[in-house]
Amino acid sequence: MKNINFIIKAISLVLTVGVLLVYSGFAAKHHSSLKAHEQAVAEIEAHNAEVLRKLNEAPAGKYKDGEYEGSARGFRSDIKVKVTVENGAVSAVEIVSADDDQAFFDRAKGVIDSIISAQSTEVDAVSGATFSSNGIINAVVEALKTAEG
Amino acid sequence: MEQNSKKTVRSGEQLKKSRRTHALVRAAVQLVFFIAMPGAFYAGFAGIKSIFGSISAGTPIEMNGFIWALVLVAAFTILFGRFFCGYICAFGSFGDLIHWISGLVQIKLFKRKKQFELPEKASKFLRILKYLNLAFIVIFVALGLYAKLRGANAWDVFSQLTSLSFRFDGLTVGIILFVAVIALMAIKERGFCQFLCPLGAFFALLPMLGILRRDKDGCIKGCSICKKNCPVDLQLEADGFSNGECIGCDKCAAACPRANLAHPENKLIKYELVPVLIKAALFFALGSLIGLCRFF
Repeated sequence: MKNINFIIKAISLVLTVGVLLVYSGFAAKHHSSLKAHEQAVAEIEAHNAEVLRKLNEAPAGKYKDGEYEGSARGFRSDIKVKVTVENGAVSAVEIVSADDDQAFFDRAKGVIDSIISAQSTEVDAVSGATFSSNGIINAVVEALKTAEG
Repeated sequence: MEQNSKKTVRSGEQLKKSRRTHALVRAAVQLVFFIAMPGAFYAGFAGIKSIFGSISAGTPIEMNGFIWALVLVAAFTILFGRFFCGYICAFGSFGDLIHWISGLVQIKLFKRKKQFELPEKASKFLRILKYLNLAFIVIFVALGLYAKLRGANAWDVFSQLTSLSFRFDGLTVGIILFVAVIALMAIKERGFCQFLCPLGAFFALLPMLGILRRDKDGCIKGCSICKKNCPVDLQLEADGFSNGECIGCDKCAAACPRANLAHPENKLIKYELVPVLIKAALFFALGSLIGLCRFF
């Protein structure tokens, strides 16, 4: 058989893609139920924290409300971010300027969600876009330095 | 036999011209992609890492930019053979430059008659390493240990050079590996690509439609010019192209006295450099679409 090599590779490719799709389907189901559960827990915790805060009238967090800018070195040049602090917590991170390659930077933006949901800058960089990710993380760190009260 | 008499043998002058034109066009295409898409290979491989990263975390595989880059380079390879390796990959082009300089130094400076060549047997054995490298990286990503290897990566050092960023903190191991890779590329043309490249290993496992084909019946008896021009030491008289190791440089086709090596599309378009430019333009357009071009 002349094309045996091609046929074997084609079958393996189809099988591999198939296995990945099946995996992804199961993972998506599992992941969405997990997410719903996590969200419910987070809502309860937020509510509890709010009640406690009202009872004690303690300061909401370590950051003062407002908008803060910070910048740090990304892949090609400096990345500038604007961090919004609401009720003492980081509520939004906006990219003001960045010059990194789009395919990489788009992936790196994933750290913004991680920072907001963890309420911490101790988050993992996105694999494959570490320089841009660390740039965003460090820029947020810089911005939050000015937000400390 | 009839075919044999139909085809004319290219004269020495014609051959020289064919090889020079091919080398120039290839270098020009490589230069364009080196400047415009130096991160394409990195993004494509990050797609593989992203898939195994998702599996490691138990999350669904989302179609992110890296996976689109992987789909693009894989689809290109399935359709056209490893055209990406031969003409587009910035790291491969860098290797070609290193090998070219190494040849100049050896011949002009050290007055050697010929550039050093690695024995074929060694090449055949070393080829296997790239599959081990791919397996090693994939396993490390799947076990969630890959972040521990940060900085121990020749490609990260290369990316700091192509981005003109020049930040090498935390890249000490990477720099050592990068220097070793440069030495390897100087000794063996595309040494990294054939012996170590994990993306190349992935490509070699793909079924390929548009690989070069050799019209064996039309060959001059005892001629092995194609084999001598092959940087990957393919056994071109056997079924050399279909084993996936061909990096798609087309050097053999340009050097063949009978123009006996052709891609399927060469049957449609007579002038063999036109398909090269069409393929390059297609990759440029699709690559720009998914954000691989650094200018837009």
